[in-house]
Amino acid sequence: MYERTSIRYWLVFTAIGAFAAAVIAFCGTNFFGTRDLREIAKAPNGELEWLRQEFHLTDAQFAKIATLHSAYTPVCNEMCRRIMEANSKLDRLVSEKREVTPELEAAIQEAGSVQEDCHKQMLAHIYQVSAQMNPADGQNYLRLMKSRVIQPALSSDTAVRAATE
Amino acid sequence: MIARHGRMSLLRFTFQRKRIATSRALEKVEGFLRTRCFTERMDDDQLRQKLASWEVRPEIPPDFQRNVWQKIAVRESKPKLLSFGNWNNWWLHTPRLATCGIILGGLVGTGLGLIESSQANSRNWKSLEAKYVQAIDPYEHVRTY
Repeated sequence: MYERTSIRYWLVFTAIGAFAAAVIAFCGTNFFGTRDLREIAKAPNGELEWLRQEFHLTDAQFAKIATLHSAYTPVCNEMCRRIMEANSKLDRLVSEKREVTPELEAAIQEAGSVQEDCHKQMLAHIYQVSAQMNPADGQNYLRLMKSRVIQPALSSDTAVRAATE
Repeated sequence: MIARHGRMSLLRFTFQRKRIATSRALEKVEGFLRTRCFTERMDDDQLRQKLASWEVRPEIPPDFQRNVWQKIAVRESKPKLLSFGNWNNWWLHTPRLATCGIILGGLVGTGLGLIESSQANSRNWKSLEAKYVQAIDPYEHVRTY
């Protein structure tokens, strides 16, 4: 009787202990294993930190790219505003009209020209950034941006694969 | 196997009982003779003679064997909780089982944690990439508005 109680006690203790050890080890490993990236993701300029690590930027390169990024941000916001305006105008006209009027044509042209402008500005920024990188990393950056921004129909995985090839 | 083990332990036990009884009796006799030697001025030869003539008859309780066999039978009839073939389950009685279990649990948890953290890092890395793309692409801005 005593023997059986003792065995049962050890089995229960072992099961609880093993489970607790597994949970603690899992949480600890997970917490410490993801801490660095979590901090980068939380940081206000986390995306630039990603750029630094992904394309092996030196401090000087990073500083120049950060300056370029800061200068580009208001341009990007302005383009965003223009796109929204052009799109909403086109949307309104498409809903109102029952045929292609000169006004609608103008709106379509405007939306196209805004898109063209955006692509130009964006490409200029992408080239400027890649010029600051080492040649190989710059090439990888261009490939990635091409697949993510210029040919966004490609899936993310394909884009990453294309960038690493 | 158990029966043979039981017989062996019975013989061993009988022998030990005899030896204990003999030594106790000898001690008593020796004490007594020493006192007598002291009072009767007995020399060593006489003492040896007396000791040689003395015979010990140890008494074993009449139901001794039956008791031993009963104990063997009781032990044999006990159900075994876990037995894996011919293995002894000695390790179930000791804290070794708990230690092994806790170490194993820790290792499994660490392994799963490493896999999970690697996947989480991969997800976070992709989300940072998407954040960068969103930061430079006004169309992404508009899409996420």
